Amino acid sequence: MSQTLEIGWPIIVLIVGAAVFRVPPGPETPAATFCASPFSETAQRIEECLTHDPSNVGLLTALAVTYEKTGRTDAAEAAYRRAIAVDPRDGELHRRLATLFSGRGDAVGGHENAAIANRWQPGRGR
Amino acid sequence: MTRGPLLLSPGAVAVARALNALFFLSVAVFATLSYSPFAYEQFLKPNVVPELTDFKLLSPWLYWLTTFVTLLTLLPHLRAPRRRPLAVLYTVVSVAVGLWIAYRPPLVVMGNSSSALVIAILSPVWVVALAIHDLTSAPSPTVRSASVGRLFRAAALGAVVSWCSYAALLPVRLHQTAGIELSTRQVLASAGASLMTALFVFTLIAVALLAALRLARFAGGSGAAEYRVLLGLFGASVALVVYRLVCASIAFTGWAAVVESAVLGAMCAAVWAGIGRLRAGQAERAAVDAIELMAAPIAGLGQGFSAAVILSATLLLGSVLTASTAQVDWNFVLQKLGVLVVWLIAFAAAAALPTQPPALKERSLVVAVAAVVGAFAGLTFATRSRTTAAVLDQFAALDPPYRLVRDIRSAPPGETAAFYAFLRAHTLLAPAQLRPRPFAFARGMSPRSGRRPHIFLFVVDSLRRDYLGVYNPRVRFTPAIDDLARDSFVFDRAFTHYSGTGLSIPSLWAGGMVAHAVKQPDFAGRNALLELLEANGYVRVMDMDNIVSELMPDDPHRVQLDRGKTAMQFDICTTVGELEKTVSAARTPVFFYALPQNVHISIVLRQKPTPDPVYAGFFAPVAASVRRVDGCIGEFVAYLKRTKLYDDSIVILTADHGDSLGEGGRWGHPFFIVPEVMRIPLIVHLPSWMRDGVVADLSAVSFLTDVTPSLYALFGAQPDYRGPLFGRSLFVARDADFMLPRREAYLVGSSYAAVYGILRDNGTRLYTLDPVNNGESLFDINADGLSRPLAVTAAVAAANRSAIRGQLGMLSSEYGYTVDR
Repeated sequence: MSQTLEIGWPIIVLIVGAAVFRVPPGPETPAATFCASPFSETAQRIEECLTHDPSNVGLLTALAVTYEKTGRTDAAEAAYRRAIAVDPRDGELHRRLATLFSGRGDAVGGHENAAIANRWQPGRGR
Repeated sequence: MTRGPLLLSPGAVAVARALNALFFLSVAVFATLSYSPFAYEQFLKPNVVPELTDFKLLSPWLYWLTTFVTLLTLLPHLRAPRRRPLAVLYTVVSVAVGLWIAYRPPLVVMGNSSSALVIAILSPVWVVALAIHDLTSAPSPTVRSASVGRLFRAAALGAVVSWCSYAALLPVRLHQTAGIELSTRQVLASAGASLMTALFVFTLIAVALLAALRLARFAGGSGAAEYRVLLGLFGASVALVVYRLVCASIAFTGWAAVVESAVLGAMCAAVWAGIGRLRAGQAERAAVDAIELMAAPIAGLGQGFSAAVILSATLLLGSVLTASTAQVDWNFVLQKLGVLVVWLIAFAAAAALPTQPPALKERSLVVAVAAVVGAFAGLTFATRSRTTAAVLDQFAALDPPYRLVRDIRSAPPGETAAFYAFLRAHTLLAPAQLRPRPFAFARGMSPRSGRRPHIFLFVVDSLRRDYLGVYNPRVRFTPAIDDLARDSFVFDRAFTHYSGTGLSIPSLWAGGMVAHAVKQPDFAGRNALLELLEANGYVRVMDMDNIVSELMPDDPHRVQLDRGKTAMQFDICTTVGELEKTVSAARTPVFFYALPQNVHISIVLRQKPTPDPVYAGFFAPVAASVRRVDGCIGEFVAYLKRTKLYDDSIVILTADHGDSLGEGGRWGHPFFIVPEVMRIPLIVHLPSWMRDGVVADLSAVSFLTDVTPSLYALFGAQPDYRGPLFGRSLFVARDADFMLPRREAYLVGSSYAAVYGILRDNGTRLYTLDPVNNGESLFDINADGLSRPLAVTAAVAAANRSAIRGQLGMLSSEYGYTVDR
């Protein structure tokens, strides 16, 4: 083997090895979107965000609020319940759900959730 | 080969040289820590590691002991005319320096000054001088060209032995490490990936050495020239490791760190060469292989039994080093250095095996190397999915060599490197850079009319919320705190902005984030809590730890508790004993503050708790310490009730930060911005006459910085909302908007390095960016305090980096400093 080859191949291996050694960037999900401020977004957009981050209470609350604004109280209730399933200690969710029930004339549901909300937001219910 | 004019055997002299190097290396490390303002303020001053203080005090004696042993080895040289001048010079200078050290011990008097840097740089020079003496006096062996077969055999054997060294106790570490959810199959597959990685790394090192050796040979060099090239590479590697791994972890940067790293690299190379020369002197050999001579400091020359014993011992060394350093480690530095030591020993011992390696054909070698590189490339391709990467990330917590390689591999892309530079520019600022803006925490503040309750603020250093029964139903060792919590506000989602005491305590007093500096200049102008206390005529009854001593050096209305103790000696039980006496004698309302250290990792690791079944599932030393804290807080509450003061007191129990207790292999709280470190307990008891008039949202995200604004609000001076850098009152009017804190993104950071993060979505999403370890993480924190990692997409990174940039910009405006980037 010639001198050039003897010195050449280790250097080539070093270059290739260094390239292989470096971690390649992870694959990016094309539809992945950051949904930090979805409060003025549409329900469809928030649902899209939720497919990437299904346990995001902020998103679920925003979805419920959006449904409430458009009069879809059943969908709003379902969204609140999904959020409460993730975070049962969220007093604000229970307070909002209580208001929703009261608005629909469901005094029992309203009272039940207001009591839970008051446990997490002491003083607020009085 | 002759033995030379040595009183002791060459092996004994080699040991003496190693001890000499170890002493001066320790001096250099201590002086470096002392020179770094960060390390001095955070470690040395509060005596976090008492062994460092012991070393400082014993250093004159250790110097004399080291010098005595060294001079014994030089005695024969004093009788040899050719070698006498150097030996006499070394002896005279050593004795003179020793007398000066006895009169004025430099490690004791230097403090945080430039003389510490001078000592850090000069002490290795001392070792280099001795090595030069050895190299010029010990017989020089004839060095022949390195054997390629020996080099690659050492690489292959070294890779396998070092891998076994850590894999041996993998099942034990899997059992002991919290937060690892890997199946047996996943562990086995990951261990296979780790072996492949080790083979690749060792092969690449061997190829790099081969390239350097051949370049030296083709440049006309002899075997001796090859040996010098190897020594140079060794010194450069040590310097690089010191700079990138050690200096970066103690925030020691700039030209001083470069010089110090270079000096230590030169010292290691010189000592290595000197010891190699001494050990080579024992062998009766005509010529020595350059690689073999390079390995001589570890296993000598031609001593097959010795090499085999060392290789066998190395099989367990990695696991032993990990077990003994994991809990006291700082940012994994000790474990990573341990890996490098194991690699070095395994490689050197394998290279020292005296049997002739099989002659390797160049073509076969190229094919074998290409196969290893190709296999590693295949492994990289096969493990690039997020699921596999997540499995390997968890495995890295069990396997320090894999963690080290993973951290080295993920070099930041250009954009990230630029962002790192931006973060560093905002970090560990010099006091002279800061010009805090004039600050009024609340407009028109006036003394509270009517009753003024006592205020007792317990900030238990490193207390984790999930070690309190009120937050975790599995805890059965905190009955008193649970009792206190029953008639208190228990904030479920409390966080600290900082993962270290150094900044979290100033932020508590300031009621907001502070400039990232070791010392806060003009803090009196931003000390919102003290201003409130002064306006309302409170006497301050306090433990004076090193941080509050800097923040509030002079206070005529202060009663100091625990006088004569260092910060790390503050024990809540003795503190409340003194407190009770002071409160009983007080004629004005009392404000109490203490930062007890009972739960701090450096304290609990020195204790041996009595086993108790209630500690099952918890780290027993911490659980036992928390139990002691609980008992003494319980006694204090009982005192308040007994003296009818309970319903006339605000009692706040919180922590400056949490702690990692083995989660993912992490211990302590150096740079980690992780849920278990950032979450804190926050329990606030109010007198009934205050409690009835306020409303709180216990499930909303809250911060340690909210304590001061809350006290303002309770005293009738609601501070204006000043943005996410500042705290807000935990207690609000009934019609207040509870959603505001939940929606905001909050900056969090390490007290010690340019590691920052963003907490958002009501404290359920924690994003962190770590330039020290070049890592980026996203955590989902659920209601129970458990967390799971989420993938960081480019969009997540962009949005959170933008938030970090924006809030650091606000901080720089608030504290009047500018950065170049």
